Amino acid sequence: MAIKIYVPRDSSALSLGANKVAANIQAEAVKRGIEINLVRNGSRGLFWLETMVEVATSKGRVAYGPVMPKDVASLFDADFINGEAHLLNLGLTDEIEWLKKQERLTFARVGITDPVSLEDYVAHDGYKGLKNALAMSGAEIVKEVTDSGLRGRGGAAFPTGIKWNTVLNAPADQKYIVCNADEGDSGTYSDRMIMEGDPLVLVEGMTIAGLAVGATQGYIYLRSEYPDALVTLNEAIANAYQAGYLGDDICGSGKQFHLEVRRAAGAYVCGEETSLLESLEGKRGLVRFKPPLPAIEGLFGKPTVVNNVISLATVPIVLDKGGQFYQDFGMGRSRGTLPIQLAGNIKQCGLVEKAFGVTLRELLYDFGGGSASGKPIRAVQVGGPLGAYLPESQFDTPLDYEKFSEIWAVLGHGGIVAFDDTVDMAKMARYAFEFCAVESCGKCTPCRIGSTRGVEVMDKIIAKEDHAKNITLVRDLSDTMLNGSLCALGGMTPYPVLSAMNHFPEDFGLEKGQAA
Amino acid sequence: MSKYTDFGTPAKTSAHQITLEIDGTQITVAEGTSIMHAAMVGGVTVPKLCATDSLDPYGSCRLCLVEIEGRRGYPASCTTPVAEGIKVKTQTPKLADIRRGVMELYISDHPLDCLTCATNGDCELQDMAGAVGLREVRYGYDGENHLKAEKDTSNPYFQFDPSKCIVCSRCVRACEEVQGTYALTIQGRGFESKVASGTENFLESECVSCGACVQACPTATLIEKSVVQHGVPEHSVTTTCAYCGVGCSFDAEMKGEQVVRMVPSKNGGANHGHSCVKGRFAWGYATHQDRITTPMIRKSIHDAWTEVSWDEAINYAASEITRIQAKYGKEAVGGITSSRCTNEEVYVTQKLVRAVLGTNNVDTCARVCHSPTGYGLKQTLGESAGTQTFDSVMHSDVIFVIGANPTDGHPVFASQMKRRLREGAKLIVADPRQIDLVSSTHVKADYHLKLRPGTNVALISAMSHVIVTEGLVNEAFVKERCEIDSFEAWRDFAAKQENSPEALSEALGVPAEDLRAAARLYATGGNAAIYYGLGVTEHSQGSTMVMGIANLSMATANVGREGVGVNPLRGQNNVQGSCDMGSMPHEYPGYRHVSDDATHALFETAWGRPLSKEPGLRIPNMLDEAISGSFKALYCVGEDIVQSDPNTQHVTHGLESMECVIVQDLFLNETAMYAHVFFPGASFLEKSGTFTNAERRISPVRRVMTPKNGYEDWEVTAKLANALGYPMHYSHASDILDEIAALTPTFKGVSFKKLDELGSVQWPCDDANPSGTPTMHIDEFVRGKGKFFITEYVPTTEKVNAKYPLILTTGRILSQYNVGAQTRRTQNVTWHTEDIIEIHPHDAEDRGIKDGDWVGISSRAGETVLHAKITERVQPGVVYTTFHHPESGANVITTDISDWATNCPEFKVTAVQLTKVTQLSEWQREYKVFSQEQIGFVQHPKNEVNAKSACILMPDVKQPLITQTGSSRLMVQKWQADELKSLEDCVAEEVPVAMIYNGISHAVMLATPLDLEDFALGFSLAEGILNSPKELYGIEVVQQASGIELKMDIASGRFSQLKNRRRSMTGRTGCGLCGAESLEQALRLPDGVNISKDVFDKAALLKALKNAASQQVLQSETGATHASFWVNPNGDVTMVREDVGRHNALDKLLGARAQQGTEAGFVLTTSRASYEMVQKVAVAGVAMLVAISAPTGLAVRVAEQCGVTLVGFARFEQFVVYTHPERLV
Amino acid sequence: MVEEILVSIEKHIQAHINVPGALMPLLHAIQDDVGYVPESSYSPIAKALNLSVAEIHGVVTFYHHFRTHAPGKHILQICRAESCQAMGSEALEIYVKKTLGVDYHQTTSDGAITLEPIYCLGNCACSPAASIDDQVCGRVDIDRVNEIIAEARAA
Repeated sequence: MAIKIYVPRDSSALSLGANKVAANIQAEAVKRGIEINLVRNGSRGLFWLETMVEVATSKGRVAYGPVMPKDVASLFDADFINGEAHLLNLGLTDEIEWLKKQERLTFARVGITDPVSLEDYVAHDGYKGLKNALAMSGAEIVKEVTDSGLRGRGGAAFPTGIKWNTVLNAPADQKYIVCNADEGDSGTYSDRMIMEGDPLVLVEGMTIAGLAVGATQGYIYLRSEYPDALVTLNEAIANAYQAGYLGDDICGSGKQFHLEVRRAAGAYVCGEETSLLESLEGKRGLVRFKPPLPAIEGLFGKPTVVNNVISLATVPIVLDKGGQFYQDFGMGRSRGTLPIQLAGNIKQCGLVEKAFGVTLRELLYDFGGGSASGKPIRAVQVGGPLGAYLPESQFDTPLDYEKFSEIWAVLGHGGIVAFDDTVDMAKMARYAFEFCAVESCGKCTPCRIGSTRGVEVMDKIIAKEDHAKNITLVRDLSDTMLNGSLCALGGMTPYPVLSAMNHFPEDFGLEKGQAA
Repeated sequence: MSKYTDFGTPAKTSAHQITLEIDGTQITVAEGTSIMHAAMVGGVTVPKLCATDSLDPYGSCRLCLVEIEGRRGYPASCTTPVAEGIKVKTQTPKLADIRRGVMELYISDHPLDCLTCATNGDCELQDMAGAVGLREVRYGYDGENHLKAEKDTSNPYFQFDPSKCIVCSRCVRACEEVQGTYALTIQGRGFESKVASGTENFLESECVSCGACVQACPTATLIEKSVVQHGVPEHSVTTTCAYCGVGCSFDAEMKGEQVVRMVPSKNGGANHGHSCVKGRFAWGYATHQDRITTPMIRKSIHDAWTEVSWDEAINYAASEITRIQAKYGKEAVGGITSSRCTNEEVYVTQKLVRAVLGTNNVDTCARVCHSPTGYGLKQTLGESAGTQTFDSVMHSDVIFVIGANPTDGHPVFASQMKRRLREGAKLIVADPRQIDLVSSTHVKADYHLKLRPGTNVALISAMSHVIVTEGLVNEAFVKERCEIDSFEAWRDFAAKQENSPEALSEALGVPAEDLRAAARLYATGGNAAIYYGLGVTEHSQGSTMVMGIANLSMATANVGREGVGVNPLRGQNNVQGSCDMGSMPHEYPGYRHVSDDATHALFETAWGRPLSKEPGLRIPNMLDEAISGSFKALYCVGEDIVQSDPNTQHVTHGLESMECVIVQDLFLNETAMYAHVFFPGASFLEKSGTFTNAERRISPVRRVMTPKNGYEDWEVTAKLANALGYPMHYSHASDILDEIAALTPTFKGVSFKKLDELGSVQWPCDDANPSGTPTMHIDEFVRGKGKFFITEYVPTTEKVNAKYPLILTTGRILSQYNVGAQTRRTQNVTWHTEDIIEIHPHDAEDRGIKDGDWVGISSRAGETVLHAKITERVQPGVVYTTFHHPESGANVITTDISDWATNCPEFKVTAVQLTKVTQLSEWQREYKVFSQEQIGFVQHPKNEVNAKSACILMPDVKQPLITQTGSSRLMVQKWQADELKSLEDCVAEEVPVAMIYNGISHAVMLATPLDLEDFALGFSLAEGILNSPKELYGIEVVQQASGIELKMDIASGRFSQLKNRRRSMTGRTGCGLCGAESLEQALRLPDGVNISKDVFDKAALLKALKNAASQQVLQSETGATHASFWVNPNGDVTMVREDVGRHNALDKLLGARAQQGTEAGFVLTTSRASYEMVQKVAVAGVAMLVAISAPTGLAVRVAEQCGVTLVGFARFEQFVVYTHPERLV
Repeated sequence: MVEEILVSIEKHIQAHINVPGALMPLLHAIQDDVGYVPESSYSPIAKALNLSVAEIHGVVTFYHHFRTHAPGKHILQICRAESCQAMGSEALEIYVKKTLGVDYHQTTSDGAITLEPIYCLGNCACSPAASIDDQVCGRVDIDRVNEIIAEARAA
């Protein structure tokens, strides 16, 4: 029997040469007359070990990594196909501490299965949720999701069940499910990992959402920076259509759901749900004001569920194991698990799915192993470019929406970017304005003009020009943007700016204590 | 000034009222209302910039933020709807901080030029900066900004200055929401966001110049050029537009007697603050120099006019009428009014004809447009008018447009219709041509029934068949509201197999399934409304079609409530009113027949004169009778029958046969050329009265300035009546309206007082409906029971055959209005300079016609010539044109065929043939001569060249100039005293000038654009083209892209001589341009020249100057020649050629050089440098031309473009460098 | 060439004419095929989709991904987002600009490489990141970027 070898097709793995590794394995196997079955799986999320090659052995899957293309021959020499020892041998994958410590619900299959294989998907508990949902009424599905306590994982953390309920109760001839896959926050990549590693769970989640609210058309709005995800998603969707999981008659139920991927075109602001809808309609991605909520007047003016990839990809397990199962994870009002992404200056970057409540420190040091540079971690930005910078003194904050809110920080999409002590926080504050200026849709004045002025004022502060006056001005500007902006892009840019000023005043030429 | 409260967001209607508290005041408004709007209702003003109540809320400026008790953050009051019991605060210290912060950002990217800004005092940004208490901008002004952004002045009426733009998107939104054109967008994003059209400039864009963007702009970014010129207006008068049948209300904003701008009135019942390019901007004709303001008389139309006093003119006209009636009888005279007249003018004119002249020979131009509407709707529904308001369309689910082109003909209403279509209403278009509504931005017809012209009735029969046979008749409605017998007869008729879509499909050229689907949609799609235009009425079966439309609406119960109905789109401003006012030969005001005893008695009593009970003559009958000799005098008020009526030859023949034609008009129109008495008219800005639009809305016309001619038009008519011995002593138009109201039941409640109160009112307005009647026939039809008529399709006798295989149909274009008398005298000609003929590519291919070719169009009636446009908008077999320019002669080819019931001409169907030709038709040529002769008969100030300013900065090389001084200014470098200095210089201009005789380009000269009329006459006499100045009837100086045309109209005899001369090619004039005949041939800019890269030392130049003179052998002997020198880089003269002609000397030099090799160097000439000399040098690849004397402006521009260094005034120790100084080191 | 572009644009327009919200997928299709969205395509697109030229201009200029002129043969994007900054992307940017002799949004004089900034490629676990054409590269240091540039120039 052919030996199953797994080489990830995840684009981060590809960025480190996974395709070459795969090709070398294939070639080497042919050369040696070994029959192998090369599976291109998703990534397990241990990126410091990518390319991580796994081999299915009688004892289980054995991992090797990080494998460089040049290592392949030696792996064969070492008989890695039977899980034998090698410098890169990591042991049984399931026994790797980093994975063992996690609670992988949403990411249960990622890295394990062939992402586009329906057979593999179903063999690993896929489509169980849908089977259940098909036997339920829309209201029952919505209740299950409500009971799970699932909140929007895109960052806003709005209860998913409540949103669905609004759409369910909005009468319309057409409703839509829109998946927000415009994952633009620096430090986040969990959406991409799902779409590349287990796209069918997203397809299933969206199908269930459609059944729940009575929507027959779904769109995945995918950022253009993810070309690999596009390929994988389209493959998976085609396979789902083929197998009758999408289309006019889902699993013979007579119910229909259609799904299509639409590409974004390089606009961070389109991760904001209303500008995303504008973009999907073929317009400039300007932010809409609310109300009306997209749940009432969304895509093409119709009631629309807009959910993040992770939210939708979590729905199948909720429907499979029940809302209560999911709700048993987590703390406070933050229920279930959060796929956390470690990035930046971290030794062991990767995906950690944990129940809410884990602290930053555990993540940075226990999982991350400290900084990559070996220098002290001075600041971390949680929740993307609009998230606050946290100093070491706040590393014990547990990951929980409300706890973060208490320290004027956000959890966002669960991305954590660490900086060592070489960081200049004034430059990072300037960058926050700069990013806002680059990505502002230009609709509202505080963001349109304020972001550019912010860069200019920060330049003056850095140059020590009219220092006191400009410090006051940047605070006033932050206040205007915070309170006056139409959406979170302008409204949250002050988070990184002010947190940097408040926690790291010395970088702004201020005395400690002069900050607040 | 009219001041309108801006509520910030549109008003909402709802059955549900909400009460909330704003700043401590309880306010109750409809559910869905914004907090901002509610605040304004309660008298609380919230700061705002991006919000205005003509547009949906947008939420971008963030000035209108408020606090709501118990809610987080600071919601924008424009986008937040009211909620029961909420407590809102609009002024708190925190809100003040945020607003000041936002305003500080705005001003950090805005010029600080309030004092010199055109909208100083009328700027919302300025107001808001004050309102939020902005005191400083701490960002400074050295950051990124848009202060240097370039102005776009391409639109003739308004400019766009992006440096003042605050990117509120009001203009973009207005273009989308209000106008529906989507010509604007925001380009880029973030700080780079900029209002843009996606094209070179505004003029090149899809913009239709409706002015909505200008109206919406809160700053001076988009502003009328007239405001820039005259400043902010100081008072305003609300009046009614004098263009189309929409009847928009405008505020004439004035400075003294100067109109600064016309602003669409927000309270306008028909337009709600919207406008189109005509009403908004094209009012300049009212003060155009072509206006005639002094009365004139003459014995014969071949005589020159004599200017006389008003009394003299009136008395002369009266005496002529008296004489003619005495000689030929009462019926030998008649009157014609125009749909451009006010109701009051029409009324007094028909009163004059009936009561004073004692005849019913009075007709109106509605005869040639909507007379079938009056007839058809009266027969079926009982009232000769449309059934709805324009606003009704907002309740329509299916809109059926037949033979109308609203986006061009009725643009303001079309915008409303498009808004409804964007909301999801279905659209059926029946039109032979692909009008814009069929497919344009955000509008797409569900069905385009592309029928053959002339088959309307077949269309309505086929649709009726579907409705009758597929059980789509609303039986209950028919039973209750209609005459059952008539219905049953119609039903049986419609059900006949011969009326099925399948049977009629071929004749119509429309697939049967489309006809069925459209009929089903109309009958079952909800509220279905029909809008139709002249494509319905101007047919031999016009009246039949109108009745067919009424049948359809009754059978499907689509009449008698909002959102449905039968809606004629009236062409001109007062078509409805002129018909209402009894200007038809058979009807008194209010559509009462002249033979009706009670009516007859009523008017005899009121007017105190015996009145005829016999219907009088219609316009075509008057003309027929004139030709046959029994109709001798005509009083024609504001109407131009020569241009607008069919078969022009017949019309002019009729007029020529009359003994006294009295024309009252602003301009010497085409009809006035056949007149004996000319009464100058007053423009709509100079008089009072009322217009009645297509929805029966009577709107006031208010005088905003003194009549330039001395009298309002009704006063002139009254004077004529007085002179004829019938006293008419009205003191104001309101007196006339009162008389109309007293004598006309449907107008009983109408008065100026009511119009002042309500703004406008829709008739019937009587005791039962004191505020008027928006929707007619609600509970019962005006005639009681609705009556069905059988509408048998009878093909027109105007058939295509081998000789005339194509069908010509005619229509309108947005920028021009009717006969164009007004719009042609405005900048609207920018968009439509001539009428063109649209031809399908197949038909063009068959005839070898290419885009832009001259095409002869011949019909059974006549022939004319127009430029061709190849387009798929027309179907094969159909050609299309407009009739806005008299010289187009569109009506030379239309025929006498007319509607069986009303004589409305069949303008929409003329069998024609098209052939490629090379010159204008005989009629056009004769017309030109005749009309120029006629214009010459007016003692009119000489047409002056439009000189903008004395000197103009150097323009683009291809842009020729008309200047007053013949010069232009530019920056040059002068070498003097061993020093190069920049200074401004003035050069003489030189422009290709074409001599065009009666349309034929004969020769082109390069001339200084001064005294061009003298040049034309002098040249013509010198060349023997004319024998005497009298033979030159007129000169028009026209600036074209490539030069100036001197368009002369010369006596026909001289012209034929000239043509003979040209044919034999003898006596061809030699001109400076090697015989170029047209401007296109004249300016040949050197293309792809290869100029040497040589650089030269200044010293070499000075050296050559010193030595050159000594080498002019011939010159030293004769003192009469020019010379050209070849100078090498050392400054040595190596070659000389002399000639009496400076060009010749240069040609000789370059010829010699071509033979003898290519030594490096430059050319020095003893003459001045003309354009051709630069051209010659450039073609030879020579890098520098040094002239002893001055260059011309054109020479400088050509040198600049070709890369040639041009030096002039090279004398002694000095010279001036005009171009490319980098070559001189 | 120009003729060919027009033909293929027309083909894409026809393929998208009945797609809801067709503009974005259509612009992508054109850019994928032609390499950019020529302004000459605005008018036919507008006509086919019942949009205005201005709207298309507005959309094209809103999205950083779309360009209206042909780029260099290869597009090199350097991530400027925080995670990559934390791992030294700034030095990488400076190096690349200097090596290529261009600033962002510019193309090398040999037409081989257009340099663009990008804000997150989702490769934050392997910062600093870059991409060449559609291929993401992780842990990019000076050596790696030299390799990328050399490969691009050779291809």
